[in-house]
Amino acid sequence: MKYSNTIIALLLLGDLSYAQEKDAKKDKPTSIATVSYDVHPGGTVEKPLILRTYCPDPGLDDAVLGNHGKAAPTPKYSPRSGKDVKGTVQPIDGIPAAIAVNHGQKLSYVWDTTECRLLYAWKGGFLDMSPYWGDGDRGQRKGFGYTPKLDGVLTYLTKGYHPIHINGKPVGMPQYLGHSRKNNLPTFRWSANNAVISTAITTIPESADGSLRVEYRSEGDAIISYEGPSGRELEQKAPNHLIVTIMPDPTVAKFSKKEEKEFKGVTLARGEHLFTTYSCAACHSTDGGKNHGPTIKDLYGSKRMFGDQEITADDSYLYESIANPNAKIVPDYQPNYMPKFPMSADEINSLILYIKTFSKIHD
Amino acid sequence: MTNMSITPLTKSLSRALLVSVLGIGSLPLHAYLKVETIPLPEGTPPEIGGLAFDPDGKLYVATRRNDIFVATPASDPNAFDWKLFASGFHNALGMEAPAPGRIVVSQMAELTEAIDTDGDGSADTYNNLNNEIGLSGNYHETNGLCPDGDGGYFIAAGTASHNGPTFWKTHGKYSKIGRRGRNYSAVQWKGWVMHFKDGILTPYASGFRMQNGILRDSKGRLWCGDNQGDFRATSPLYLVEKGNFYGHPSSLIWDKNFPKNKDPLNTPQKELDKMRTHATVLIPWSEINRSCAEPAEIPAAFGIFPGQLIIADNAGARITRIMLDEVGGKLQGSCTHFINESGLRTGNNRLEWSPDGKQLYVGQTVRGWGKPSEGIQRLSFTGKTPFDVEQIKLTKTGFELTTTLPVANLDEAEISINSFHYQDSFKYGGGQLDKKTIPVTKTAEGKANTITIDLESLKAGKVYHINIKNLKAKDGSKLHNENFYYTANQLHAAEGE
Repeated sequence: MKYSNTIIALLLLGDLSYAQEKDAKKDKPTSIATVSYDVHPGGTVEKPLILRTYCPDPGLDDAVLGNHGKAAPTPKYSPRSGKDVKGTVQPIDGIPAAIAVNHGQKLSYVWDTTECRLLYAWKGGFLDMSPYWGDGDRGQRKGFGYTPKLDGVLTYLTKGYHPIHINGKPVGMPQYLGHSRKNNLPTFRWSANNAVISTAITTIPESADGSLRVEYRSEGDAIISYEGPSGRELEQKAPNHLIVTIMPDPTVAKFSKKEEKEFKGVTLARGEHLFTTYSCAACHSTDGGKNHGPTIKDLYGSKRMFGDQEITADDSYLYESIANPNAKIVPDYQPNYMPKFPMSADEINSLILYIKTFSKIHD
Repeated sequence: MTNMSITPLTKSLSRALLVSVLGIGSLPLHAYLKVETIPLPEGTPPEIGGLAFDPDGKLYVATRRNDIFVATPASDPNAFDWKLFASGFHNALGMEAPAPGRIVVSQMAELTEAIDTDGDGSADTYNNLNNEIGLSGNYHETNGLCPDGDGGYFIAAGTASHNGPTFWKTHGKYSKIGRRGRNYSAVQWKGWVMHFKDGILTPYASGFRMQNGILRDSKGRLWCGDNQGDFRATSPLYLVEKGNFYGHPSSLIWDKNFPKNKDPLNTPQKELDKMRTHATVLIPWSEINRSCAEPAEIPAAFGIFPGQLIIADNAGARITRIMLDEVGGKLQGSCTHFINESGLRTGNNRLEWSPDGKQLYVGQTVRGWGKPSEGIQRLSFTGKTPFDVEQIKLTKTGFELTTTLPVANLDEAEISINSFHYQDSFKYGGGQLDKKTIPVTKTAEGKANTITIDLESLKAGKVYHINIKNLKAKDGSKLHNENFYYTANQLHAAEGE
C-alpha cells in the first residue's frame, strides 16, 4: 500500500509540473460542483473530472465489448393497439456503464466497468453533453438518443480482447470492484481469474502529444503480462506490476473528424480550426514561448540549421514537417513527440496559411 | 396594530402584511405547513435525485448530473455550509447515509458505496456493491433505494421507455422478448424490487412500471408508488411483499417461474389481473398525484398526522397524504392532499425527514417534464392544526371519518359520494369507469371528532370519492381538503357471516 501511494505521489508531482504549462483553454468549474449547466463539462490536470454518464462508442469492435449483452433491432410497438407493427427500432451506439475522465485539453479517456479496461482516449475537449443534458438549464434530453458527443480528437481506440493476461491466461469475466481517488485521479480495481487488479491511467508529464501511461498491478502475487497489440512501450516493474505506454494513434482520429466536412479547399479559417481541433498550441506556442515543439511565432521564413545544412522554413518545409513530423527534428527537440495527423493536402496547406499569420514575413 | 377594534377584513390584511414582513408572503392564511426554499451551491443544476441524513445529522444531496453535496442543516435556509462530498454518479436516484462519511447510492449502472476514509470531508473510496441489475442504455432505467432494516437494501428498478432506444451493447444480458412493448425490460431486473444484502442480490417482487422511490416504514412494511402509464390506469401505492407480482407484465421475462414459452406482453389482461396484487390505495391521477415519487412516513415529532404515509408528486406542486385502513386483515385506504401548492414547487421527487423529525426535506427535479422547478424545499408544521379529515375507516355501511378538530355544522354540510373503478390495460393510463353517485342515507356525529356516513350500497373493487362542502370546525375554520378517495379492495364481512 505504501509503495502504491509513493507511485501515486510521483505521478501527481509529474502532473503538477505539467499543469504549470499554459493550457490553450482554462477549464471550468468555479463553484464547488464538478459540473454546471454548461453542457461542455471539464476538469483540469490538477483536478480531473470523473463523469459517470452514458458514453459514446466511437467504433469499438465486438471483441472489445465481449462481456456486454448484444441488443437487436426490435419490432415497432403501437401503444395504441398494444401490438407490434410494421418496421423496427434500431439500437444506438453507446457504452452504458463506463466512466469518463477528463484531465483538461490534453487527455480524456473512457474506462469501462463492464469490460474493466480502457476503451479509448482523446484530446482537445471532452464530452458535449447536450444530447443528454439538454441545452442550458432546461435539462431535457434532445432527440431520441442520449449519448453525449465526443469533443476533440481521438488518440487511442482499443481493439480486440483484453490486453492483459493474468498468470498467463486471458481475462475472463472481469468484475469491477470500485475505484479509489487521490485528487480525483482514479485507480480502478477489478477482479478476474481469482486475482484483484488495479488500473491507473495518467498522462505522461513530459509528453503533450496525448500519450498515456496505463499502470497495472495485482494485489498479491498474480503475474500480469501484456498480450495486446504491438508497438506499446512495456515496463514490467515486477511480475505483478506492469506499465504500458500508449502513443497516440493518428489513424483513429478520423472518428471525431465529422466537422471537418464543413470546410472545403485551402482557407485560413480552416487552418485556424484545425490548429484548435488538434490542440497544436499544446506543443507549439504562438507567442515565442518554449514548449515541446518549436513556436510558430516568426517561424515562417525563418532559417534553421539541420547538421550543417541551413534550411528556410518555407511552404515545403512546413508541409513536410506536418505530414512527416520526424523528417527534420529541430535541434533541442525530441523525435516522436508529434504524431502524424491524418490530414489531407488541403488541410495541411490551410494550416500553413494559419501559421504564416504569426510571421512578419509573408510571401 | 394598536387599533383594538379590528374588523375581520383589516385583521386578515394585517396578518397578510405580517406574513409578508416575515418573508413568507406566498403562504396562504390557512396553511399549516411552512415552506422554505434551500438554495444549492451556486451554478449547480439543482436536479435532486437523492436526500439522506447521516447519523451525525449531516444532509447529503445527490444531483442528477454528477455530484453529491453535504451540509450541516441550518435554521436559515440560506446558511447551509455546502461542500462537495462525492462526484461521478450517473443519475443517482437513491441514497442512504448509514454512517458519517459513508453513503450508499443507487445510480444507473450500479449500487455504489462512497466513503471518506481519510476524514478530509470528501469521499476517496468508491466501491461497487453490486452491478447485477442490467443497464440497456435507455434513459428511463433508474433505481430507487431504501434500507431493509437489517444492514441490507431494497432497490426499486424501473423499466425502460419506448421513447428511447437501447444501446447495441448492454450491461448485462439482453432479452429480445423483454425489449418489446411500451415500457420494457430488455435487461435484467427492470420492473422489479430487488433485495441486496451481504453482497447478494435477490429478486423480491415484480410487475412494476416506474416505482420511483421506495420506503420501509417503522412497522417494517415496504411501500412504493408507481407511475400511471401502460398497465397503470392511475397512480397506485403498493404494499410490496416478497414474491408478489404487481401487474406490469414486462418484468416477467426475468421471472424463473414464468413459463419460458410465454410472452409476458401477450398475456391476456384477465390472466394478469388474476396473478397480480392490487394497489393498496389507488390515487386519482389528475385530482391527487400525477407521478408518484418517493413515499415517506410522518414521524410523531412532526406534530401532525403521525404515522401516516405521504407520497410526493413529481408532476404537481403537491404531496399526497395516505390514510391506511385495515379490512379483513388487509391494508387498503384513502388519499387526499398533504399539501397542494401553498408555496410548494412542482417536481417533488424525494422526501427525507430531518433527524429530529420536525422538518421534511423535499428534493425536486422535473427532467424536462413541464416547467423547470427544481431544488430543495423544507416543510415544517406551523403548530396551527388545520381542520381536515385525519382518518377514514370503512364501516359495514359506509365510512367513518375522523377530523382533526371538533365539527360545528354537520347538518349544513353537503356530503356526496361517487364510486368508480379503474381497469389497467396495455393502453397508457385509464379513466374512472362506471362512475355512479351513491346516495348517502345518513350522516351523524359519532364519538369525539368523528362523522359517520351511511351509504345505500357498498361494493368491493371500487374507489369511493367522498366530497365534503360547507363543513366547518367549532373554531370556525373551513375544511382544508374537500376531496378524499377511498380504495375499497375489500369490504367488511356482513353481519352473521
